[in-house]
Amino acid sequence: MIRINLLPADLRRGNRLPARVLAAAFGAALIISAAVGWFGLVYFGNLAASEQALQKVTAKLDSRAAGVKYYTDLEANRKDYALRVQTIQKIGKSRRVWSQFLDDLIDVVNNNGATDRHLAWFDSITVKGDPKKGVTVKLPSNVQGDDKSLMANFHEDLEAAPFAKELSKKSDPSFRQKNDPERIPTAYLTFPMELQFVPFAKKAKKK
Amino acid sequence: MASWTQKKLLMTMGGVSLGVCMLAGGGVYYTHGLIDEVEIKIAEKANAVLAADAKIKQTRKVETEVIILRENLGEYVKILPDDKELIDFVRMLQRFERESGIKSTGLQQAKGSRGNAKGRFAPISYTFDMTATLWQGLKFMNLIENFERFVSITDFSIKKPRTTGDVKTIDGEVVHSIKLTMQTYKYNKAAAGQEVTIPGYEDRMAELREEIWKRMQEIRLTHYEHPGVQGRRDIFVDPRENGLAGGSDPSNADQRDVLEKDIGAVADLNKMLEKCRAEGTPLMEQYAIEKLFKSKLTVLLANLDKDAAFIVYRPYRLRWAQEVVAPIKQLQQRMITPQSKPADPYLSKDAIQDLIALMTDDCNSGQLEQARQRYESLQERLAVPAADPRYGLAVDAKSLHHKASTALDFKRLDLNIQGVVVNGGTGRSGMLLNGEVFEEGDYIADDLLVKQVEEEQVWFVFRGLTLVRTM
Repeated sequence: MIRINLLPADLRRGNRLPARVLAAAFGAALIISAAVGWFGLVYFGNLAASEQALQKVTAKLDSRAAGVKYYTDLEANRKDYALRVQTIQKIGKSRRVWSQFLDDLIDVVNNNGATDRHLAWFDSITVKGDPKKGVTVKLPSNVQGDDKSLMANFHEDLEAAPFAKELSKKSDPSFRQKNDPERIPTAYLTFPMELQFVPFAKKAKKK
Repeated sequence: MASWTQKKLLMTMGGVSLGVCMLAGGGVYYTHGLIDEVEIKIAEKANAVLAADAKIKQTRKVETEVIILRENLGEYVKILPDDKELIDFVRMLQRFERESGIKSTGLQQAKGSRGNAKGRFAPISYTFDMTATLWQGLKFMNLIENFERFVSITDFSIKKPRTTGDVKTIDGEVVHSIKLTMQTYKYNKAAAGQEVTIPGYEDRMAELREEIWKRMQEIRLTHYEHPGVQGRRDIFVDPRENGLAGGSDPSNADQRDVLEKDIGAVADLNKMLEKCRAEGTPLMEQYAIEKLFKSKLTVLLANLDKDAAFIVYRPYRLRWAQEVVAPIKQLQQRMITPQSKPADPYLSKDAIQDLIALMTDDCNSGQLEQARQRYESLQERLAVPAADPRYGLAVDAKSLHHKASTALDFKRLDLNIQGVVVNGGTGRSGMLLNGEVFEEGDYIADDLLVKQVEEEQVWFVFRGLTLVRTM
């Protein structure tokens, strides 16, 4: 016997979706919706909020840009000027006032006009500066008479001069006796004199 | 699909759901990554905002610093200027040459010192050759070292000039050959940044005036003032006595004698002045000492030039300057302005009474000049204020001084009485004075009146004082 179902296919009992499938489909739809919703929430919620916060903070920073630029330029100016001052001070400290040195030296040699202690003179003076070694002063010297103690007195007076504290080295006493018949007394002691000043770099370190 | 089995359907749905969930999870994970990145950026920018705020907060302080430094810039530029001022520096050398009297023979820029360094300050060295006496050279060096532009003398030499024959001198001082190496610095403007415009600059500058001035003092270079020759000798010249044919100068021993004589005289004068100014010295003794002091000082001063020319030996010249000339100046100064004024600047009552008695004696004995001098030597100490009980005595002394001075002036008047006519009570008597006839009551000059003419004497009124001139 041939049975013919005249009901439309989807209404036929045997073709209807079973409840399990329907429930699963519903569940799947729910899960998918939740997943998409979660993504949407994170993407359009959290990320957007963060981007907004970024925009806000960027705007805040931008509003300070002019002030910061002004400060930076000012600071550059300040550094430039300060460097000039520093250089001037550095250069100024490295200078020795030679007119003062010569005046002090003249005072030592003149010894307030008292000639009993020594009567000295120099043939010449040569001052040579060296930033590493310090300044060297060469003074070929002479003392009247043949009394060696006068030369010793002169050495002693040089060591007590105001500039002596800045010396790192001074020649030790040595002499050659000479005679000049055109002068009274004819005898005189001639000796080398070399003064070595402490270099400024060392002097600054000491301080 | 219709033919799909139930199992297949369920599997497909599960698979699709899982796929979508995984995609969503991946998306969420990726989005969290993005959020993290954004948050890092936010944190960075927030820090930058904080840093910017801190900087902005510091702006006023930096502005202050910049204003102070900028206002002092003029001072730095003076010390270390750029090219233009370097030309002025060379011009200044010419001025210093004129001021010191040196004679320059060359100025050369030292090799390898062109000032082209890339730094802010490029050193430039010059070598300057000159001929000068020690004192001229020293003055020139001092002017260079005190110049507003920073100049450092790095090397120098003083030597005998290379000449044949006699040594060249200027005013008796030997001329030397001097060589200086001077170093200065050139400021490199290109290395500096642009100047920032500070709003309200003028007002801020006015506020900071004191601080600007204070800082300016810190950058000033130390200066030294060369005191000049001060009788000292040139240390590059043999000071010994010239033994050739004795020379024209007096011997050192003779010079020393003169020097010591004058030093002794100065010491004596000092002692006298000390005694004169001492508290317990009686007034009359003070007067006598002062008189002696003045006469001795006059004698010493009269011989000073002669003795100065006699002492030519340089070591003695210094002693002469220090132990004779300077103390004499001090003595003269002390004479003009007494160093320590007594607590009571006026003479005591007894001293004024003594003075009046002595002046009266002087006037009565005709010693008018002495009376006047007595008063004038103590005049400062007689300016007693009206409220002081000694005022009356001081006025009496002043009146005596006035009388003595008027009498002395009257004495000096040219009054040649050639004859008198005396009318015994019938009319005015008269006289022939310097060829002119004057009667009693006539004015000879504005301050001189004929009061009474008698046979042996004529009475005059001179500056309110009645004086008599005998025939």
